[in-house]
Amino acid sequence: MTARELPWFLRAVERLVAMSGVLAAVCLLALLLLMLGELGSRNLFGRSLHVSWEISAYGMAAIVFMAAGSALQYGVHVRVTILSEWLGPHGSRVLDGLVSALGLAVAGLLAVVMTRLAWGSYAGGVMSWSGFGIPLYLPQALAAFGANVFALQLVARLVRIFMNLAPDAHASTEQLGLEGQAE
Amino acid sequence: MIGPGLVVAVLLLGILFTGLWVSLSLFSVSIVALSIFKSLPIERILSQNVWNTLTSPELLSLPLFILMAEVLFLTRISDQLMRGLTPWAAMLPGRLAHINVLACTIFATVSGSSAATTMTIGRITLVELGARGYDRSLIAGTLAGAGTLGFLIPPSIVMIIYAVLADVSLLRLFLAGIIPGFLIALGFMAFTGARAVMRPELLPAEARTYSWRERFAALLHLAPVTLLMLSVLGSMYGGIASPTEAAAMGVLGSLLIAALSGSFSIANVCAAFLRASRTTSMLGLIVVGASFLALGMGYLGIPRAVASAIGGLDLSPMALVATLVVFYLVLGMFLEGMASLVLTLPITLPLITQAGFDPIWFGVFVVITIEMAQITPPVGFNLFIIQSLTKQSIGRIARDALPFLLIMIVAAFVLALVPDLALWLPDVVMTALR
Repeated sequence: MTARELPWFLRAVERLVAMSGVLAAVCLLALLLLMLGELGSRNLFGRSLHVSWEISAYGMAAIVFMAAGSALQYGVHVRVTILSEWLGPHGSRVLDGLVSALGLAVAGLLAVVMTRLAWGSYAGGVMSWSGFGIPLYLPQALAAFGANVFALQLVARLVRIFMNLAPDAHASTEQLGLEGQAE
Repeated sequence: MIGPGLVVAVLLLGILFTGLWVSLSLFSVSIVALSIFKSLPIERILSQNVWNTLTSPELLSLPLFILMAEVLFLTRISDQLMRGLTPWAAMLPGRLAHINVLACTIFATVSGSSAATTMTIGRITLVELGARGYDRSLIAGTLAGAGTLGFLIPPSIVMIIYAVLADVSLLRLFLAGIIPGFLIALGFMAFTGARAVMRPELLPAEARTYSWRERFAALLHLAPVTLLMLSVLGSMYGGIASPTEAAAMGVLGSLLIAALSGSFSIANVCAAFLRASRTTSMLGLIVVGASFLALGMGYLGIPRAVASAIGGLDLSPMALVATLVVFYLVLGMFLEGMASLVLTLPITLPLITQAGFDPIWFGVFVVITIEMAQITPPVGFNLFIIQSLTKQSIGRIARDALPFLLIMIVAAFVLALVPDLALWLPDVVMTALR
């Protein structure tokens, strides 16, 4: 089955997951620039930017959640595969379905609590700790978005298993980089 | 209090065994155990704990060191290491059989990951040394062993995670790994040299000799990696950069090297950023999962219960160390090293500090045990990487790596007998910095 023939739901989720992954990479670039800026400012002009540390920390939270779905698609999240190797193709497929459902329960809970956290900060008008006046709900909303995308990717994974497709869209396509080998 | 401890242990092993992703397993066990044994607002605790752990400043160097490894992978740095080191290694008994150890040790000073070190060095040396007629099992073994040094010699991704979870100074921990790391590398070289002398048929008969002029000219190839090392480690210990800023500088330096070596393209670099964010996500979720599990175990009083149970056994410190080595070896056979670290730390850290060991010392000790886990079958990352490069069986590579595993076990005991091997350098440098 080619990408064009996939049901609309899978195509939509997988596009959303890819977009979220790109956003995470943009956050990583921002984190890099902020740290270089901080280093330069402190050593050249003798003063810290302070706010760079705070924004970088939010960036980190955003990266971890927003790239989580994409990491699942590429088979990057580590797991113990002994049982599934032992079970053979059919059994391991059933097991993978059960594990994905269990994973969805946990990731779903994470999505709910992170969304509530962001909502609570928004409703309560909570500001960041450093006094730069950054409303805390902004970075928390990014993390919550990522957590929801992650849960959606697990739904997509379940659908793929039911449809007898490869569970991870890109797990075998990436052989060049480090991470493909780290699995 | 044994009840909750037993439930958590059985749940954790059971769930991990099903193949649920490690990060989600950690969350699920803590959530289930807390709902059974305590009535707490789990939702609120979970979200607060996740947010606080992810936004802790110590964690910030993690994505940058991962990115640095991804960018370095694009460069020709391993090729340059090979060229720069060859004329020098040729002088040693065992000649180029030492290349893997030398190159991995040097590369470890700019790489935080053992997988990245093994992969980056191995993809060049396995081919080159094989073509020159060096025995395949000798090359695979030295690569498997030396590749693990990526974790012990700073920068180190495992150390970042340990520093966050154990709440110790990352700068100090980085320093503590240096001497043990170089000593283990020396041990590897001594073994390789001895093996080559005893079994000369493992080396090709004909060997090229190099003039001193050639040797010094070759050093030029080592200039990029040396500059990079100085800018990362030097800026940290020169007191001008925190580990996170030093990592950012390392990324910049690696991008420069990539640009100079002609392997820089927008597409390549974008791919490196995407891959680095995915790896960061995987590790970040494991860290928050572990932190939440530690919190859960703390609420249930498990670490205290286990510590007092083990304290009741009245083990000597060395017996405790021996128990831990065996424990981590067995765990490391089935679990990836990072996972076994985060799973066990809530229990083992209080245990070991109660026995009078320093948490920084334990950080180095536990990193060595994680390195062992990289090369113990059936689950060992370095074995998988070398398998993907050589297409040999896991069992065969594990056998080739066995002597190096034994050297690391000896190193763990030596470190326990002489804790100053780890603790001396941080004390000296941190005092000078103050």
